[in-house]
Amino acid sequence: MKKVIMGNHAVSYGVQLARAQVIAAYPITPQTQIVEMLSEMCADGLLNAKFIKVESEHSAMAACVGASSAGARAFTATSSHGLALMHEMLHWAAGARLPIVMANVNRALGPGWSIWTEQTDSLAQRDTGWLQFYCENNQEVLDTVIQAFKIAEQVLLPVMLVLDAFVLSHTEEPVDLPDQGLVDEYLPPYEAQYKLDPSDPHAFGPMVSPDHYMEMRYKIQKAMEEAVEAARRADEEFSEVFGRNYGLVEPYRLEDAAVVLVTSATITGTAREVIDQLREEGERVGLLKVRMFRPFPFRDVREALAGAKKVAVIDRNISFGHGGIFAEEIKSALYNSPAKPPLFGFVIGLGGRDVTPASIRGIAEYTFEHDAPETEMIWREVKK
Amino acid sequence: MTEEITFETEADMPPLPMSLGTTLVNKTGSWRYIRPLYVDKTSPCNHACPAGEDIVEQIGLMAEGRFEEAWRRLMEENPLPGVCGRICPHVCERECNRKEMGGAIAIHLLEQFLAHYGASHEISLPKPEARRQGRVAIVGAGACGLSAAYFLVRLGYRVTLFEAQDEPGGRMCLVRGNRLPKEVLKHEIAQITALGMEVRTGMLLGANLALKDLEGFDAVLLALGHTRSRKTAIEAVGLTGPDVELEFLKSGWGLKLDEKGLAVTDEAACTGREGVFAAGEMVLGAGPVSRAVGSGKRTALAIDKYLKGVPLEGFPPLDGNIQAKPRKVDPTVVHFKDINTAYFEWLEPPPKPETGIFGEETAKMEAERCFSCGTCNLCDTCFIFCPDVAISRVDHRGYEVNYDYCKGCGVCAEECPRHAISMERE
Repeated sequence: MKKVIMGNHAVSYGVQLARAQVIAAYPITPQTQIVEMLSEMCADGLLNAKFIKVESEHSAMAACVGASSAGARAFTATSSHGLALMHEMLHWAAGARLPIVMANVNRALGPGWSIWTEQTDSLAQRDTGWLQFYCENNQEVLDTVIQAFKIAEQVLLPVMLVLDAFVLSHTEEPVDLPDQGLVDEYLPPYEAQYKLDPSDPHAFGPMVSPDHYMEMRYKIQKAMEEAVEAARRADEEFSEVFGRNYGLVEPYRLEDAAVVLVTSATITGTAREVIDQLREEGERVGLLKVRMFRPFPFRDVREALAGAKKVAVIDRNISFGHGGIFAEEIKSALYNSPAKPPLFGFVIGLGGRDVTPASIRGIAEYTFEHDAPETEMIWREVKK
Repeated sequence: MTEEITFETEADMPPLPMSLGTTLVNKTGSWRYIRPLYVDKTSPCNHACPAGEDIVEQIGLMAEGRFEEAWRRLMEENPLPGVCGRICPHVCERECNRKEMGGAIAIHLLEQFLAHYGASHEISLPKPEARRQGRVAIVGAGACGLSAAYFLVRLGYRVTLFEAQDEPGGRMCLVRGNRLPKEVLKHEIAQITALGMEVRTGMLLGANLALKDLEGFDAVLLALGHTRSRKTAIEAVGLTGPDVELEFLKSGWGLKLDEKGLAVTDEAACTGREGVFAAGEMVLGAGPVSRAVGSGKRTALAIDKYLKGVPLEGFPPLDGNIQAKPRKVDPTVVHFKDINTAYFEWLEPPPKPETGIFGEETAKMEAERCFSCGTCNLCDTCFIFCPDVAISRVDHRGYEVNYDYCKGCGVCAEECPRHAISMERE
């Protein structure tokens, strides 16, 4: 069934279809509609889940940890400062190997106080052991929620799906709501292998000495590595059941591209238009959309960029003292590759500043005109 | 008890940090430097009751609807509850900690309820066997003498109760009927005398009752009452003049009197003359009927020891109270600040009953308002709170701390609503 819905509500429907069992949440602009609709679904008996109103995002994640430890399918949503507040618990969820799913609406961190879109909030959590998926449109958002539970429950790591503030969260697009029966086929109920159970008691999250801690961490990294193929398979199976999928990365018109733009999230949608225009003008330019950011899809990225003569990464985020984070990660992925094209890192659109087709065209033209980047990162459209 | 689990490789280990064996192997009790102990303490009502009732225990039973057991516990300490419930000035209620959170428990009304319960259900006390050697004479059948007679007969002695008036009861008979209905008084006196004792009325010491008549007994208790009582008794038999009975005793038995004209005894009610005891208002001066009951009880317990040839030790000072069936209780009195008020709501006592006696439901509800100061009532709070699961319930009797695991955190003592747990240094 098709509905015209905002990105936030696409998350809500996804969570409903995935039959989440516990939702613990705290409101924050611009995610609140996600949990608001979910609370209404619970109240109206349209979703058989326990909705827990908590007093902070830290508690939201703590409650999800508790619920997931008891074997329940748990979900929460947040953004920006809320995500920052639950930082400690993000580490916990991954360390405890809990398949919690969370939607993060990318919003800039203050001060200066901002409600508009920027990717730094989620990317700053890239070390926590959570999988991360960046969504381009509302259909992808809904679909990724469902895929997220499947992947999480298979590899026993928490999964974060990310959508841009307002550009997606509050923008209405036509979305196909899949049939519940098909979702149930694709995503069976969660059966925890280990959980809090008085009939089979275990203590979870105990102290682990230096004698064993490293092996626990090694297991997490192994799970992350398995997650690459698990995510790929989940995406392919999704296509078999629902007729659409997205890949871990998506190459767009890369076949003979000399210059490759690398984007994520909604900038990708705009960039597609610009690529088409430039192609019409005869430029050999292509686009690589990075959808899965954690685990980092090394093989897919290296393969996609193997033929590129120049790479231009567009970051709507910044790691101060280093550079745009997608640029950092791709540079490091290419370091040991035989093909190491010059990589331009562009920083643009922070704090929700609009990234227009003209902005992207400007980035492409800069890349055409320079043999190599002159600075570690190139800030675009800063008023100077 | 358990073997240590070892892991060779990463593959051996569980996928996430979790215990595989039992955590019992970690005896966290070794961390402790203070330990919790279940120590019942004295409730202020118990402390104040001149009759030495175990009020908190009685009320605890009533709160569970166990009225007959409550009545029996009451009768173990006070044979005149219907009287006391009506005419004692109930100091217990003045001391009740509940007064800080809605109002003192209506202890006197609960006492009236229990007395009525026993009477209306015709619960009878077992008739004791006179199995002990020893005949005791009690002179004066007021509240003190009757109380002493009750306890002595229950202990197995043969008692002869002498009374100057035509009927036993002493000053209790003078209370107006609207304060103390005659049938209540009659019933309670009968309940005592029916246990089996010789009651000889119309016997005035110094008139038709001579000291010689008392010398055949193995112990004598003088419970002649207050001057007013004695005056009434004397006038009742047509005599006048100064205190005939006391003069009689001073000259005949060397009874010592203080400057107020009160008989002098030690804590075991001994007058100084071998086998002669004195109790009640003739020793303590004018006071509430409950105190006379308590004094009679003390003296009965002293006479019991005397007749067994056991030293007369361990009696509290004359202004303290005594139990016939003492519970193991720390003498520390619980005050309101010791109560964990987080466990209680502000609740007011019920309105005074129209008929004068609570119905069963109201009595139970009122009993439930009691904090049970210092007295464990199996509320399970410690059991629920112990973070080490080191407290377990022992059937219906109480709790046990497993000191192998108790870390001495003190949460149980802190949370105990009624201050029944003490923390002590290891």
